[in-house]
Amino acid sequence: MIRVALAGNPNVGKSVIFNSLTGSHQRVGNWPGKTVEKKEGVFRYGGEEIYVVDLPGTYSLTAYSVEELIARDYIIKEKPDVVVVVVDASNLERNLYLVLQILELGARVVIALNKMDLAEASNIHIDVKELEKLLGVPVVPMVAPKRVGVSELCRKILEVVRMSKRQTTRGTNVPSGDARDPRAGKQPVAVRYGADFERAIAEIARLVEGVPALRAYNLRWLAIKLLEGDSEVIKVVREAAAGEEVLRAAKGIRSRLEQKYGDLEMALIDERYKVVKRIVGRVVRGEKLLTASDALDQALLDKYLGIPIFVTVLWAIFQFTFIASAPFSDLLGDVFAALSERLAGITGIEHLDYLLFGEYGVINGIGMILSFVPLIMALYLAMSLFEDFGYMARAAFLMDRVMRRLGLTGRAIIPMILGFGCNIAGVYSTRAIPEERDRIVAIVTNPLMLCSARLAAFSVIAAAFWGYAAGSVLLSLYLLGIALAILVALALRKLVLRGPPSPFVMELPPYQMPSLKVAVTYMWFRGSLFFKKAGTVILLGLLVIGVLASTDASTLSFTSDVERSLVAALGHALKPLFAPLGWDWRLVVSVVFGFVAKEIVIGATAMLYGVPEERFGEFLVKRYDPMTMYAYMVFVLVYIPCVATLAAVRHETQSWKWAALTLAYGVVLAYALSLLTAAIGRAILLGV
Amino acid sequence: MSRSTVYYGAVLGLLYIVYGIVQLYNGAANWWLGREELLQLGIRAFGTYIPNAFPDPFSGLALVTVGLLFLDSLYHYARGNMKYVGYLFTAWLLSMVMLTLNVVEIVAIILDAYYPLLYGVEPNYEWSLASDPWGVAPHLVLGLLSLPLYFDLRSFIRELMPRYTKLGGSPQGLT
Amino acid sequence: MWRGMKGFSRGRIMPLALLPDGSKGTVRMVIGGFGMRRRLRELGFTEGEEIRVLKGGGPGPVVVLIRGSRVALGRGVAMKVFVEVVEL
Repeated sequence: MIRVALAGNPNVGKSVIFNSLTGSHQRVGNWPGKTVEKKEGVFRYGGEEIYVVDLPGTYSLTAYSVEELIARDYIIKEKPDVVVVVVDASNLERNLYLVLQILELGARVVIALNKMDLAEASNIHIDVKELEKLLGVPVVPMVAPKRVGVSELCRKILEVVRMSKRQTTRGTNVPSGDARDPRAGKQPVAVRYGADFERAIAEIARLVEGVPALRAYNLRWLAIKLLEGDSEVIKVVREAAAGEEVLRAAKGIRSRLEQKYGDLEMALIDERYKVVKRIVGRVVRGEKLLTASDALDQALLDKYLGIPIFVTVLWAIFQFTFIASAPFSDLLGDVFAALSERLAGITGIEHLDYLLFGEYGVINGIGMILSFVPLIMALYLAMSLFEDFGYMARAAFLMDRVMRRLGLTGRAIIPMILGFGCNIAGVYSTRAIPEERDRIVAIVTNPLMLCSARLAAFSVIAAAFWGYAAGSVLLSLYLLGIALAILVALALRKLVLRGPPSPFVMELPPYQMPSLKVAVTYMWFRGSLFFKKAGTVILLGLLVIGVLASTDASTLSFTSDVERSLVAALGHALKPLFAPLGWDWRLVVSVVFGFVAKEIVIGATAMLYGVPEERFGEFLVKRYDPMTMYAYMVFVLVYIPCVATLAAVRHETQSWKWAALTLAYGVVLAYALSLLTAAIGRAILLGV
Repeated sequence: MSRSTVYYGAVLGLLYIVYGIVQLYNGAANWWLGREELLQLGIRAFGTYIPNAFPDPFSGLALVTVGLLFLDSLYHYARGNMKYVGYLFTAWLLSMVMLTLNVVEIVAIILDAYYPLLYGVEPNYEWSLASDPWGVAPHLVLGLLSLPLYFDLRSFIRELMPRYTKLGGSPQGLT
Repeated sequence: MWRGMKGFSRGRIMPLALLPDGSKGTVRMVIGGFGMRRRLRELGFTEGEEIRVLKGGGPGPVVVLIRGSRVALGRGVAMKVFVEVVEL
């Protein structure tokens, strides 16, 4: 099996190429121990089976960021047969920086020169043959979304693999630039830095060659890294026998060079760019004009209209999400409800029957979860189209200034938006935030975004109590969630996750026609992922509740009278805690249900009261006063996210600590606010 | 981009702003004051108005934003600033988004009403333009009126999102 | 304000954040923390490199064109990049 790694800058179209190659034969997971997403897949070509890993998009391969280390370590330790570096043709200069670093590693490279269409539109012409000659590696021009160049890429991959098998094995210690060109006979132009640097590199390489334990690495690369003072490499060398001497000698070479060039890490960056400039000078014709993208940015980033445009886009996304998904959600819900009714009584065992086909049984539960999938999909579809178009980067940019002051970053806006659909989606999407501290803040505050499940519950209550003003009441809850998120974010930043805010530096990709195919694929993939992950957790929770609600508290046998069940016992036990809020035991229990899934709160509570779900609204109006119910909604909004979200929080932060914190602040804030609201409510009522 | 295009856009812009304000007013009146009587600037047809400025302050704000973008385009054009194209395109793009939204909404409500027919049950309710919360809203009407702008914006769009066909690569995909 | 300053400013070295839309310049120096300096350098902000302001001036982040790609910088960062003005 041939192993290929895909590397490249962010936004070059790596994912599209990955999907083109692997289609549905892919799997998404995590790099072990990290929260960075790992995509791997397989495909067949030319009779061979090829395994592909999509490495995280990076601008460089230093030891300073998790993504870069992952990419680098994979290439060094796993030694893939080919590293395909995806390069943005319309942005060649900066992209070549990473290419040089990968060549330094001594990897076998094939360059996928993507976005050729954009380059042409920008009046940029690239001499592909010359580039191949200068870099010494095959270059495949591509337009990934149109599948142009994909088969050529596969051919080149196979070609490189077969060539390398024929090469005399000096192992991976062949320093780049000395490697024989895969096209037999030709010598590539070496990628060489300034004379002083090359001398120093050669010196250190000779030193390292003497250490047997280090032979597994590419000598030239080791030398360059030691010259730079790379912390990871220093660690590795130190651990090798005779490593300390090498380090000492290297240090001497370094200080000599430093006297002339200053900080060597910076100097080497400059050296690489000098090589890049030379290559670009010979390979690229035509200068990038200010393009239509820039004209568009003038409007979208307009000082005054920029944010109103963003709000409009958000509004459109939300409307689309709720409107387009509604019929499908309803249909799915109905189908499973009918199914459940039909199958009722089949097993003959009362308890099992209740659990499987009862109103809150498994079948209905599946239906309920499925009915949220269209909503998630619609949201992802809309987001994908705007993201693909390139707008979301501008949105992050627009919001950044404001969000910084609120303890968040501009990039947290997308997770927040997704959080309004479903917190689970929001939490997982925080992966896009590069800085760990910002990411944690975004994760921990995401549950305060009023998700669609809670909206479903609140709508029923709001419509019943406030009729026309229901929209405003719901809006107030949304705003409350956002306000609290800001407070928690600020508190976290000031108290727990202290440190200077990460500097905002972001590339703005040029706009492009969003691909419907990509959007639909993405939406389907994420939707089914949601169903599988969240669904499993929720179903389990429903089962547990089902069992508790149908087991008599005293006899532990089946009972259809919920008042006698364990659930009721639990409710009564917890009731004193919630007495100041004016709840009876059923509302208390509903809150426990909400921990499993907010979607079931209304239905399950209705069942506890013995009221049909459709009449539940009017029933509540007769039973409770508006302020108490508002306080109840505040509580449900804030207290804790559903168990699936909590699991996502734990997963994304890779620690139980943060999940626990989320739980803690949620409960405390919820109770306090709810109490406050109820008290204010009572004061108003009494005052009036 | 021809001058008439920009002027046409500006007229549309005014319409967007007008209807946006109407929706804002209706939204405020209906949501907060509970009034049933709404302000409508349209033709009475099929039991409702065309366009139907349904009460929704956020929708109103969205319409106003699009209107402002159209007007901004005229403003920059008048000052000889090339960036007017960007504004015109943005306004047009958003108006297309709104048009799509309205169409999706109508289709969705119809689907919601009649899907029970899929399994041989009575429909949920009778759909009619009057019962549709949006109906033929300003988004649809003004969006249709904005469509013709596409012809003048075509070159700009092509520059923004090119179609590359020169590469001889086979688009056949893999085995 | 800018019209009078045009002749005055050419050749001077100023923070990127203070340059208006359309300005052209050459990167001269980046101050600040090591991490940020390195990151900017890796993105191509090297000494002598041509830079062009696409959206600047005023409060808020700055968008520049450098080495053929568009980069958005927060205001704080843009204040730390010093540019020799070629054209305002």
